[in-house]
Amino acid sequence: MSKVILNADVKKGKINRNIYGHFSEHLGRCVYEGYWVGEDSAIPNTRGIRNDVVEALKNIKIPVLRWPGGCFADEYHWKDGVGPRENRAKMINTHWGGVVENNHFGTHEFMDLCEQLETEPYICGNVGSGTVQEMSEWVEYMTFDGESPMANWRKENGREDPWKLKYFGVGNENWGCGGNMRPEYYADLYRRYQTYVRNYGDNKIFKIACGPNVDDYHWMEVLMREACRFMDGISLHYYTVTGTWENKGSATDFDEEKWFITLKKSLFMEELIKRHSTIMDKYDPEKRVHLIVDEWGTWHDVEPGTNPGFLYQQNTMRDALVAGITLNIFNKYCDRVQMANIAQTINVLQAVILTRGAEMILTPTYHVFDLYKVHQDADLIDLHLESEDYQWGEEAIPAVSASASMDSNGDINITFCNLKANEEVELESVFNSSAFRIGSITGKVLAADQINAHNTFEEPEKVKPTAFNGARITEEGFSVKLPAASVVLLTLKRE
Amino acid sequence: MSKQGCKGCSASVHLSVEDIYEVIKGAEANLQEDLVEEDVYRMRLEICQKCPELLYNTTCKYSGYIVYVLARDKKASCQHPGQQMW
Repeated sequence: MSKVILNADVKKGKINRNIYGHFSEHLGRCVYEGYWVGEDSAIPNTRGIRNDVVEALKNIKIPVLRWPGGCFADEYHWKDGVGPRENRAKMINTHWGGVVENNHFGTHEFMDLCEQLETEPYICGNVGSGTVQEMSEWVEYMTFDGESPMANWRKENGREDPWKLKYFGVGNENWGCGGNMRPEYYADLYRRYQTYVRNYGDNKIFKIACGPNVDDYHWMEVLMREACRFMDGISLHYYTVTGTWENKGSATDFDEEKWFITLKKSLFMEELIKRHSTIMDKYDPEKRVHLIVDEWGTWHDVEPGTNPGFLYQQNTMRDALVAGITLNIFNKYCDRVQMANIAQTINVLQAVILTRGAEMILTPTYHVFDLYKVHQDADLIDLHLESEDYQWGEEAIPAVSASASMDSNGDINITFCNLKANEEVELESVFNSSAFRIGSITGKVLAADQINAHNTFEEPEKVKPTAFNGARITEEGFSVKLPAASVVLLTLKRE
Repeated sequence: MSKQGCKGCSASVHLSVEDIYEVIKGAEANLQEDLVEEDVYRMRLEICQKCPELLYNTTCKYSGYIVYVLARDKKASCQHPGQQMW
């Protein structure tokens, strides 16, 4: 029997809604075909952007969207992507073997997308192959209100008023595709580039430095030591890869051993956050600098028969569990983790939406974001979990992952993941509060008959949330039976 | 936990003849009884190869599939929005 102790009067901080953010790169069919189909497309669109995708993403309250990369950001030259589309320069995106980029989706289109989604833009600037001037002028182009060469050019291109831009990344993966730099060198470059990322008028830029890859604690140490006072946030990237980079493993064809390995690897996110936060605490004990996990998610082999450079992968209950576990971890460390961006929204990696021509389907990961949206901007509640083990061979991981918060209505939402592939988990709670007596419990569950269940264009609703009736109020709080391999949302309303 | 590799170096959108052969071989093994007759395959492939939306001489813009695989699949259809060609 597993046990959860909830101290509902003890608030542990606000869960920044940006933890539920997304990342979209010019890669495969994410931006083109995923969002952008062009104004003349037979697919219903608003100024070239798919209506069905916008509606689906608005439903999960997508709070922030990172763009244009990724690796692409460090060879993106924004001036190629503004002005009349027919005149925009074609370029070669040297990643993925040399993708031809026609620049039809540029700054104006991205900002229009964000306005349609009612989401905050998070733009990643080019340090790897761009200049200080280029980065500085991009910010001027987007945010300067008044007479200036860049503001005037923006107006000529059809946008009179400046946009509001809060989040700006100064480079991406500069330890790798963004320039193969040493942390000492990047720290100096960061200090230089960010100097010219100006605040115009009342637009205040939140500057994000390129942080470490996975467990590169040296990179974090150097960046915090040398540049902490010049940054508002620092990024962290970690992907869950079941096998190796050379042989990652199928997205849909896997057994329980691979299920276990994948979930165990997703739990590694907690150790990464704890250890990186310890370094950050040394230089920033007030936690002014945010940890921004702006690339995360599963990375499987591409779907058989698809272009390997497009990174198109299916998405099963296993991906749903990875999402649920990871988001529970982010909630737990919301004092330091203030934004996260799952890669990459549509048609690429752990996507929440898949498209095929005019068709669109929602993945199990989408449904997790739908269930978890109740945590956005809610108060994290103190939660202690005594979980039974999920044993596989000689290895064991906790069978249950959980997170609880109180929303602005005073309702308590608890998200549970049962990691066990084939066994229900019974869980008893001890619910402590001087002010909140449980009046009712309702729930939703995402579960399926098989661990590799997924939605297809032929069967688009095979995996979707349903009403959950497996919880009841007890003397001490409540008890719940979590179905095997499931994600459950419980909502507690007071008497 | 070992260091992760650089994702930018792991794949290419451009396929060699050998790559295409491997993809077709894998697809044929998966499709089995869902393979179309040779004449249907040739007809579909000819249409795909003339399609202005064919990417890198191999890839359907609308589905991301290699057309040599798509054209062999009995259950597949052209995904051109509003202008289905087979």
